[in-house]
Amino acid sequence: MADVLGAFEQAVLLAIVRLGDEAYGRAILKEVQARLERNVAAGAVHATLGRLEQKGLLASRLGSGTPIRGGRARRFYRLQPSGQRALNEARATIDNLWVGLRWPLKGRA
Amino acid sequence: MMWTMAVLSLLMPPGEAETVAGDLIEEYRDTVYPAVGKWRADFWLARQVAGFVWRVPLVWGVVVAVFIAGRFAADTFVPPASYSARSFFTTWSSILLYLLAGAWGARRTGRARTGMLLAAAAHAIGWALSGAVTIALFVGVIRNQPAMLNLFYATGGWGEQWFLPLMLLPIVLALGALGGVFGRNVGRRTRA
Repeated sequence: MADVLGAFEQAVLLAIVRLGDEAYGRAILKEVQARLERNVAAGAVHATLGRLEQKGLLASRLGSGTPIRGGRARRFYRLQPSGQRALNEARATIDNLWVGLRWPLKGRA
Repeated sequence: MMWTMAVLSLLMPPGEAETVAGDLIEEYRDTVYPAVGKWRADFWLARQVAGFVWRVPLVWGVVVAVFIAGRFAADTFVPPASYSARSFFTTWSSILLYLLAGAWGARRTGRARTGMLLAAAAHAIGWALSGAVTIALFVGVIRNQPAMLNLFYATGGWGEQWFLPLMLLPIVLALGALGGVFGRNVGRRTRA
């Protein structure tokens, strides 16, 4: 069984999937913020990226710098097969939880 | 803006510090500065940098707090006939702790100065946390028990809580620097 992913980890991994070859720190942060519709600290995304890379769900490589970054390198991230498996399992788990229920829930809650 | 980048490079591994600094500078120049102006953009940058580095000294700070608060609680609730054995233990374990914090930090970044910064940050966090514990114990228990209250003031009282950390700071910096030199050299050998 692949790693059990938290909601924020899923948001980061899905941002990387969406961004494809352009998945670097700042772009991932902006994508996560847009999808979650809230402000997210850059440090939180960075810590999550580091943790997911340590788990082997992500791989990274250094790219070239740009003038607006003062020539500093970008770190680009790519989903690994184990990351893809973990995302698929997370989605399947959620789908299973909702089987037989209509969304959005209505009634006496 | 320069000091924030200096802090990042002092507390993060070199490759990480460069890419993180690049991301933050790009966001600062591209989005934040044009939208809110220099002062608010600088404040934003400082907050972001703090968000990256606050975790680094936290664990060491909590360990320092456990030592100080643990000793304070033990002296308050189980006062010994002589404090020398406890003092020996807490003094030498604290020395070892600041040395280790400095070495760990410097090994991570490859910079000896990280050791000093990390030891000082752990010291500040540790005393702040233990100060909160001391206040809670004082308000909740000590002030209502004359024997404990006498003991509290006889063993240094609030003066020890607020001024001892400042008096110890030069020693902590020296230990952090010593650990830092050791950690940097170990890091170089490991990477070589």
